[in-house]
Amino acid sequence: MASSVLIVDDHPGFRATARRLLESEGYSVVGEAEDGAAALAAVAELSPDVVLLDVQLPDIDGFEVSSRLTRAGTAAAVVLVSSRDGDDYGSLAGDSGARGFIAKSDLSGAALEELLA
Amino acid sequence: MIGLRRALVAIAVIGLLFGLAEIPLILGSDFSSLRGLQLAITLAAGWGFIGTGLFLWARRPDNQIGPLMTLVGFLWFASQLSASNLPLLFTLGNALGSVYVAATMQLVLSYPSGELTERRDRVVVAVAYAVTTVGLLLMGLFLDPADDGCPECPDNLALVSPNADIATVLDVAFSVIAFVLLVIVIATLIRRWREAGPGRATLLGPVYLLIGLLLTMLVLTLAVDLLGAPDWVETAFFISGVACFAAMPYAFLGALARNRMVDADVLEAENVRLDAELQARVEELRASRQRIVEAGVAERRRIERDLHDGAQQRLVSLALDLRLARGQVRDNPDAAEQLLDGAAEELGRALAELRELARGIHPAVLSDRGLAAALEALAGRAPLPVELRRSGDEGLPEAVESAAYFVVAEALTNVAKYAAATRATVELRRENGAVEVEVSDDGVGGADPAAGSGLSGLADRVEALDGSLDVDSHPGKGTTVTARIPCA
Repeated sequence: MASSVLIVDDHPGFRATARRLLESEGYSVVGEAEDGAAALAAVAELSPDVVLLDVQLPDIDGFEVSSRLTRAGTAAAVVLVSSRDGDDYGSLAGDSGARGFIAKSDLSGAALEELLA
Repeated sequence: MIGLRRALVAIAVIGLLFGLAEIPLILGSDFSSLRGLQLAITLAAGWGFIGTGLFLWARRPDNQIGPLMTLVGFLWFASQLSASNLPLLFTLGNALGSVYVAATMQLVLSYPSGELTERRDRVVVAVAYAVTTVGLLLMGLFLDPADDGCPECPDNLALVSPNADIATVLDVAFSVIAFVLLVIVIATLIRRWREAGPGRATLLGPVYLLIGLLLTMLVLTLAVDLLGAPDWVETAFFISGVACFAAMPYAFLGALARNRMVDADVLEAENVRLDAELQARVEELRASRQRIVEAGVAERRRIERDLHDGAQQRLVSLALDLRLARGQVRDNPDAAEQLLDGAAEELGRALAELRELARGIHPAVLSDRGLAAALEALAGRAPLPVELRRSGDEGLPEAVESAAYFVVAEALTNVAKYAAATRATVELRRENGAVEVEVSDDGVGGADPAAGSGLSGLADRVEALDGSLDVDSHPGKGTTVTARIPCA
């Protein structure tokens, strides 16, 4: 099971809750980032197994961060999250090289595991 | 209208009789030279002015040009009484001898509207009347015709103390005044001619041409009189001037003949002006409509963002907290309880944010309890003391109530954010078919309505109801935002 996770979201409340949730389900949260640039730097530095990446970030959006990570040949599995519905974004998540999309309210260890399997 | 026609016919008959009476008076004059020419010019000018004046009077009863021309004709006839051998008529003729000049000045300065619109014109005409009435009466007290080179003239009945020196001084003084007035009139007419558009120039053309000639002759007559040129030169200029004067009414007729065309030009110019105004208004409305649409889009974007960043995030956290709590209920009830407490707080905050957002879209208190209660709620929520004065705020249309509410809401928000004020006043009154909402504060002032989108959005909202929004904000003198919305 992939165990190390980087959480990227500009809302500290969500980062804290997601950390608690994932840690309670056996994941290890190795870092947090609040925007796209910090996310790219953190992936390079921490090499997490999973990047939990919010779509809407203050500088560059999650799709663009995902594309850059894919182009850079990162080994991390990128999972996009948003409080919006995944259908709102059509095929953007897949096109960006991300492993999949999870609505924030549906986030759980099980949902993550299912996507990464 | 019939009454007017009868009056005009009566005036015409009197004018005819006046002219006929001039015939024996001038032809029988013992001292007048060139009697035949004088009679011809007298009748042509007098009847010309009276006839043309009455014609214009009948056609355009609301225009003063007709009555003025008629008056000039009668005053002209009156001036010719000075040719009489009878002392009374002679004296009267001399006393009234130049009033027609003042009336003519009034006529040319007020042509074609009949009104003296400029203050300088009114002063010129007033001075002209004063000199030709009071001035000449004064001169009559001292002027003995025998001393004035006319031993055949009848006695001046107004003569009190014959004094050729005083009479000469007065004569020179009045001539100088007349000269100055004429120069002013000429300058005025030249300016008007140059400023006139093509349509107006057609109307002014024939009249101004003749007035120009007449005034030039008069100025030359006065000039040679002052310079002491030979009599025949003065007489030649005088007769030329009077001939121009006699031709003047026909110039008015000539202009009148082209009047229909001119009216059409004026109408066309007016149409062009109205069309331009309409276009400007349409452009303004188009721009305003676009701003309203853009403001609507921006507002929806703001609401979506507020929902996403606010309540939606809190509800997401809530969902995750509840899921976490469920996982902890059996093994770690204390942690679950803590998570549930946190979730309840998060839910409370989400609800508060949703309420705030809903109020921004449309305040429920406004629909449920009316504008008065909504304004009181706004004043109560403001972070500084707000005095509320209102009158006539009952039964307003919903759109007006809503606009008034948002003007007060935005203005109070701005006061709280930028004004550093200690207090604010909200006043709502209804007068002259409009609702006036005024929000003033004692803060730092210097607000720039163009700087933020809030006030501009409000202005569009108010203008959509045909109202207006004014911001009066001088540095150090507080800010007053006033919206005026028509409301029958």
